Amino acid sequence: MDRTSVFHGLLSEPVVLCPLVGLLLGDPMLGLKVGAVLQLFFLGSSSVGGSSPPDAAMASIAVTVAASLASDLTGVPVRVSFPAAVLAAMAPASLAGSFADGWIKENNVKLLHETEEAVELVGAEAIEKAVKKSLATSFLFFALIGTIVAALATVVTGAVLYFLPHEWWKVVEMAGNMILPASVAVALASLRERRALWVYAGASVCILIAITGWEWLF
Amino acid sequence: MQSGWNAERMQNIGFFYTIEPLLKEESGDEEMERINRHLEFFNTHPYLAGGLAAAVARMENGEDDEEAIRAFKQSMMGPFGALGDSFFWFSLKPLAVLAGVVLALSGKFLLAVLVPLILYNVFHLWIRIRTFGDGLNHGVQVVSRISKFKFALANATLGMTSAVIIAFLMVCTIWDNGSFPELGGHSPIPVAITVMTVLLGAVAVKKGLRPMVLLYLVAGFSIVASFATI
Repeated sequence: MDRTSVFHGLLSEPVVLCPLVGLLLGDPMLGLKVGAVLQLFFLGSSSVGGSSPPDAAMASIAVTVAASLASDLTGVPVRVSFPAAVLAAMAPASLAGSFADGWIKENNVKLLHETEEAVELVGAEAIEKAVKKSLATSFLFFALIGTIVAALATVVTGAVLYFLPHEWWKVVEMAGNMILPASVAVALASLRERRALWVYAGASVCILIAITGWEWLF
Repeated sequence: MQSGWNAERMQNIGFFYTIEPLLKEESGDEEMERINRHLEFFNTHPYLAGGLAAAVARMENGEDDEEAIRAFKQSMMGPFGALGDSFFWFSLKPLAVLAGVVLALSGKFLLAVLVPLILYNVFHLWIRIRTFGDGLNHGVQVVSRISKFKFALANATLGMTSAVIIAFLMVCTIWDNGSFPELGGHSPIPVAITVMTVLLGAVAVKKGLRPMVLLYLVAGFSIVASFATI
């Protein structure tokens, strides 16, 4: 709701939402890690001009729930369940959220036409009723889709982890470690400032020299 | 403003809902005419919409005719939308959440959640309240008042600061050996290679590679490389 209809105060951004979901599930540190990675990946995902981009909030809920619950159900450590959940659930969940967003916008067209008819009869009162109806529909629909997506993400991630041979855990864990650099690349590309890549390259070298000294350059 | 957002006329329902309490009471045909006029297409940035709505309400309550009000709304919604998108969505939001990401990767739970919320909301609410007040008190002058904010300069500054924060978190996270130990450890060469590989990835995304494709390519490459080394 924060992402689409009310307030727009960053509550639906992964870096805020995932730790809160993690806290509810009893694993706030997992929530922090998922939130950081997903936030970088979805840094440039904002609805511009009425578009419905991949939904970071839906992906945040699905990945955090799936990583935590699938780990509890299968006994696989979260360092393995986290990358498994990202790879299995992030893309479908974000697309499901985008679909839900589009459905609400289309459904509101019907609401608009109903409201225009109602305005003829009751005046401005019809607009107030339309706003309340739209918010209620939006809330219920996102809650329903969110619950289904989180449950499916948990089942899929759980099934993958259940059938994953123990010797493959390390492989998945290493793939998970590559998710951070990939997310950073996406975040960097999403910055609109045209000199951002040059600034990133220069700042990286400076920070590395500040940490390690400059001898390694030669 | 965003409630009732529809694919046909976008924010029109929200716009009328916003200005309705500010309007002088009317009845009968005049009221109907006014409602229908504001149920026309409208879309702008939600944060700056308040200023525009307040200015329109002032015009409605004053001497301005229908066409002047319609022309003001239609001519200003595009520029307000573009300003808001580039500043709030693509400059301020990335900076605020990146601060949260740095804190999240450092394991600071409360700060990771609160810092982006405070950083972003204090600023965005201040602009929302201020532009709304400007619209209410100065009508169409809200445009010249908004243009006093140095959005272009702020966008460039915030964008470059975000790039520095990304560089900081990339280098420090790998170097730190904390959250992602296999990415380099305490040796500068692998860290430098990873940092520059990320740059190549960013260039590829800028050139049109889909982010999800990059993610699965990197994960797939890592899995293949793991098998090769095991």
